[in-house]
Amino acid sequence: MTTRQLAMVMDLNKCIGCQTCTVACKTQWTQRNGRDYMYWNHVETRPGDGYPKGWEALGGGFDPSGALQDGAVPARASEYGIPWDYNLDEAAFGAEVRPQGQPTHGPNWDEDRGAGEFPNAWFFYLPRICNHCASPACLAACPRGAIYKRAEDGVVLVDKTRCEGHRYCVAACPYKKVYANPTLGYSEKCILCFPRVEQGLPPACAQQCVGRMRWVGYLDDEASQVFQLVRRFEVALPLHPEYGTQPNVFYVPPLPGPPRFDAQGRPVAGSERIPTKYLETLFGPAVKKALATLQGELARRRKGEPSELLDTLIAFRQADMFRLGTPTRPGLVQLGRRGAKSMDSGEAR
Amino acid sequence: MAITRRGLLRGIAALGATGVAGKALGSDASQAPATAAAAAPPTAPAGTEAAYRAELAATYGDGEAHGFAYHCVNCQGNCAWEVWTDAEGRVTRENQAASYPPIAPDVPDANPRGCNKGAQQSQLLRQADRLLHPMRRAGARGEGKWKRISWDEAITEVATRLYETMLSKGPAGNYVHMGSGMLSEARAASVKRLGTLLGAVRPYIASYVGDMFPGVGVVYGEGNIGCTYDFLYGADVALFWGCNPNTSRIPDAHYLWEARYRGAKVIVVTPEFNSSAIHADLWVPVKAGYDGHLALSILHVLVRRKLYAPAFLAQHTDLPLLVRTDTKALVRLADVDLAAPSFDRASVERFAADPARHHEVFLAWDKRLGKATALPGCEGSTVETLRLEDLTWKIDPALGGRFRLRLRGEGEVEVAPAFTLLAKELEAYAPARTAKLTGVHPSVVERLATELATSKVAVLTLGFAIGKHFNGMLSQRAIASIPALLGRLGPRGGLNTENEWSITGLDGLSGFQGRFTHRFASGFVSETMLGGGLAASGKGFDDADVRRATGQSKAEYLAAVRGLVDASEGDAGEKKGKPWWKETETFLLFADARFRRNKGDYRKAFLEQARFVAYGDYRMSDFATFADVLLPCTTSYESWDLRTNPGYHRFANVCVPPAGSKPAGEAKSEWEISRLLVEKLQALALARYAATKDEKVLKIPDPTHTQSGVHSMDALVEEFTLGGKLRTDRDAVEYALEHVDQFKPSTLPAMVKRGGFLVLNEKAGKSSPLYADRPYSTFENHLFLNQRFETVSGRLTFYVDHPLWIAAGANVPTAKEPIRPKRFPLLLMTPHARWSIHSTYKLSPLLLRLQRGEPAVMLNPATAKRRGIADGDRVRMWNDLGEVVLQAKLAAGVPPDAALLEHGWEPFMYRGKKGHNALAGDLPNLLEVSDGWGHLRFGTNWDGNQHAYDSTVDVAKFDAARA
Repeated sequence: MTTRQLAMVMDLNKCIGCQTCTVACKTQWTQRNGRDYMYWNHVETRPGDGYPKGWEALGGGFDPSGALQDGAVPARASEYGIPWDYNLDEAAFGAEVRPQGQPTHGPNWDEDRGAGEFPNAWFFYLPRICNHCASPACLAACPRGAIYKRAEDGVVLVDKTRCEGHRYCVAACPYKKVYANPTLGYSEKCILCFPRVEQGLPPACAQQCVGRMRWVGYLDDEASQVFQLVRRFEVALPLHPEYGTQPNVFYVPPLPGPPRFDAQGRPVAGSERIPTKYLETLFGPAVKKALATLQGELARRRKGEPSELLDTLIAFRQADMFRLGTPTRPGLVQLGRRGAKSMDSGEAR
Repeated sequence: MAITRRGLLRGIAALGATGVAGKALGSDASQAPATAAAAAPPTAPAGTEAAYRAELAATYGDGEAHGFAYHCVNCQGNCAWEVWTDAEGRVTRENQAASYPPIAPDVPDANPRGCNKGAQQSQLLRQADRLLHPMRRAGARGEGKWKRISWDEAITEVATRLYETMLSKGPAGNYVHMGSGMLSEARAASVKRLGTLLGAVRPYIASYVGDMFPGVGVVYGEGNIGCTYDFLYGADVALFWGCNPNTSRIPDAHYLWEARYRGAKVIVVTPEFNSSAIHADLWVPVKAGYDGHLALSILHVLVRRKLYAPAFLAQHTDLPLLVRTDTKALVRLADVDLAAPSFDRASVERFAADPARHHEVFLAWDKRLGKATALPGCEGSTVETLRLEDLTWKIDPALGGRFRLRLRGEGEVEVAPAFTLLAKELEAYAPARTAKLTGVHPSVVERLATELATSKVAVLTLGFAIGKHFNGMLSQRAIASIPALLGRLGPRGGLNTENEWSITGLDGLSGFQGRFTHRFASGFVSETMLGGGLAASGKGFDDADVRRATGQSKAEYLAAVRGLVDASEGDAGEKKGKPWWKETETFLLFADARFRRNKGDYRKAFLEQARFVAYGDYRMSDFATFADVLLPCTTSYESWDLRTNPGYHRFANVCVPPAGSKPAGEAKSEWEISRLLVEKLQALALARYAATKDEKVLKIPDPTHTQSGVHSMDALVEEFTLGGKLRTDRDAVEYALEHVDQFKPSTLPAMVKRGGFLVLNEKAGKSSPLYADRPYSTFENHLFLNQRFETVSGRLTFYVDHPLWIAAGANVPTAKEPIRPKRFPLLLMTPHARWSIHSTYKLSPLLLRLQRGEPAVMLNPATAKRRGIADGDRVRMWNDLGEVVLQAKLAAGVPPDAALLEHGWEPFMYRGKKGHNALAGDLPNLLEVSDGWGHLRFGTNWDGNQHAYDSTVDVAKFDAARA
């Protein structure tokens, strides 16, 4: 039984869409061993089809009665996109350097596309990892009992020694964040970097986030920002709560954006460039209150008043954004022993 | 033997670090650390969790043998990274060191600086386009036939060409340059040092790429000014004009949104609705190219509503300077009849004791005396302060009025403060009048003026996009004039381009304390002339285009530009304007993928002039494919290096390769390559002398760029290595740490222990103190200590009386129409990219998979719909200069009259290997070419840009059958 839950809060008002998280995750885990096409972490521009393409229409999750809903496994080429290669080895030899195989879709296909009519265009960035749900549909759907939640941190893992690659989990996850590994023959997914966390290192996506928009901590740690933002201020919300899986990744929703313009080019005060109605489809009705809280605090702040909430969101020290407790397996990797050997190198040059 | 593809790759596989060959070289699988793959086989017995733990461990090797690096490319971000190796010493991955210390409890720290591109540098080390061995061209240029050669053969060939060129053409026949792909202090100094020692030509790097702020230099005397980005956290208004920091200042962008939570208003002024505008409190969709008109409208409002401080203008700006109302010339002390009754003669003795410098002493009308008075603080003044009141003087300069003053030999003329001429010009820019051009509603202009004027701290950050328009220098100047008019300096905020630290003591690394000097060429003029000259650069613009943008016919305009450019050619013209040398024929370039950048037919013209091209880089860029000799270079993870500027933050980062790691293939550092070249040059000269006994082959004359009058080829090694002290990249880092005052008291071990960086000391601040606990902003010394600016009047400069500027109506800030042809409906905008630093990283498969995989032009959905174009369609994009084929991507934030394409794509990524810049025309702007006025003299603060936003195109669905 899960005794503690490690959770993440992402502030969409600080996300700059740079995908450093995506790259950090890729180099840490997914550019080998049949995982090339997987993005345990990616950032999608909303509105848009997302990744895999149209994932919100692919089903999965639970219905209000708690029954698993049907879901589909995304199509490799048209919905995930097959990672294309390049003839870089021919660059020197006079060739045009082109993708090998026609790119059909990818994790960032909708980048900066948005919606609305110029100049009233709108979009925002939505980074997504596995939600490490309290009620994982993937776990419920697995005929092999191969998916489990770790007791110590609530990380949802696929036990590869039990998984036989039936992919029910892939279909059942309403976020489409479980992937079938075609090389290894079992399913894999974001592991919340538990081997890093065990050593006191934050997940790579969070530690390397240059927008400083991800907090990681235990939901029962009242001093943690995740507790503060989720439980106390109630400004961080799960994505698609109606899917019924109880995600443990939470989002501070985007503020309405700069004012829209009227036909004469005048900014319309109080207008919603990003429609709240749209945000409700993502974060549920609670988004209204979260936005009202944020806007109220911003207004106070502009009058020079203090705001504990906004100070939390500012995050003065990056290192303080992660409250991971005492490392349970320290020393497996000797991180932090800076330069022990590096000074000896390069003598020959 | 000419080498075949298969043969070369076999060679690479045998000798290189990758150990894999064939098509797999380009696949991700080949990039997997071998040990990591081995750690998690399908049948790993130890269970799921143990396997993931082992995989993590494998990417970190033993966790001790790791290095430090930044990525010394032209993003200027300069972020400290830790680099990890596996058990075999192969780099597996990197993460930000993230150990920069906080400067104050209430200022967010700088961690974890970095970006998407730096986070995958490790993947490039073994990528299939890595240059691993020296190669010589074995077919036509660009054909792709190579012969692998030894380093000795390569060095001998390059040194021979450099030497023969010096003998036959003189030093100016050589062009030796470390390009913009390698900006650093220690490493880039190698090639600068080599070029300087040989008296070779080198272009100014900021202007040759078109990322210069000449219009800012006009106003402030220097183009690189502003603040560290943590200063923005404390701003009340942070306005970003012509830039998109969320995309192109990724490591620093967090300060903006943290500032917003602190209470700041963030404003973005760009034609497109971009990744920064989405979070802004106000986005202002200015029509592209009309930024200058908008800036002048803001100035109009500021003056109309008197939202400036007259006392500041009187003291710190040139607006009180007296101007002749008839000729529009500034009155200089040398012009004045000193016995004139309306002139305060005592001011001459007080402020301008040196009559030889009276042509650079300016006058104001002192309201107290009712007379014109010479001013302190001008370039020619003998008193350097801007103080208007001291023990022995008090001046109360007028900003308005018209006065009579008797000039030497001319009798009485009418004079008026420059402010009156500025105010008159601004009358034409009422927001209601400019709205048609700028697309900005007058109420927005009023609001911008109010926000900038009335906030406690307002920072106006100016992006590179403004200078990419033909009249962009004037727009830069107009925008730069806003904070100048408002007295926003130092703690009050102000203009922010790129802060630059004062780093002293490096002259001895890249140069020779004046014993040898390089031939420093104007970036834009020398590139224009290399690219086929003015005739070629005018292509694409007809007479009406030029008239619209300049008021002159195309023929007149080109003739005027040509006159100036001809006069500044060669050694004789070097001090007469924008220097360039036409005899240049031998090129030794590093990290300079210039064919992706240059416009029109540049490639053809360049290759015709370049009799020999040696090129050093770590990768096979499009430009590299046209080289005659290729020199494989190390990457940031394989070299020692050190970097400080520009000053987005107060840290200097160091590159220290991980223990036990080796460069890929035969790659060498530029320090080693330069030293080998110098050794070979000396040996060649000595051998020639032994054979000929002719002194001239050993002492090559160079009266203008050496102190001794000659390049002594028998002393090259001694000179280059400082008597053996400067031989390697590591020597250069140690030299810098030893000689730079601002680095004290840091040592290399201390930097490594700290996490790969040092904190600059208080001396790094150029025009403000660098306080230990406060973010930095320039010009505090000018604001509070009344130090003069590096301008001819010593003041913030609104008025320029260069005859060409008066003739162009640019004596005061003004705005002019874009030159772009109206024959095509869409402006081609090519902003800085999220996914590459110019062309560096453009070929990373990992990053390309996070895009559309190929060049994709962003179109407004309505624009596309009218043409029957759907998202993902292949389209052709064309104008009079040519056509390219690329993917269409529909984006709601793109203006309907624009085609937006992130820049930096290599030409060989397009069909027919012709890049999108083939569609770009450009013409040097006459005012940017103009020179020789006050502080507008060629140098790092006064050159001109190549412009990239001057072309219009149309797009249509690509019909593969028809093509």
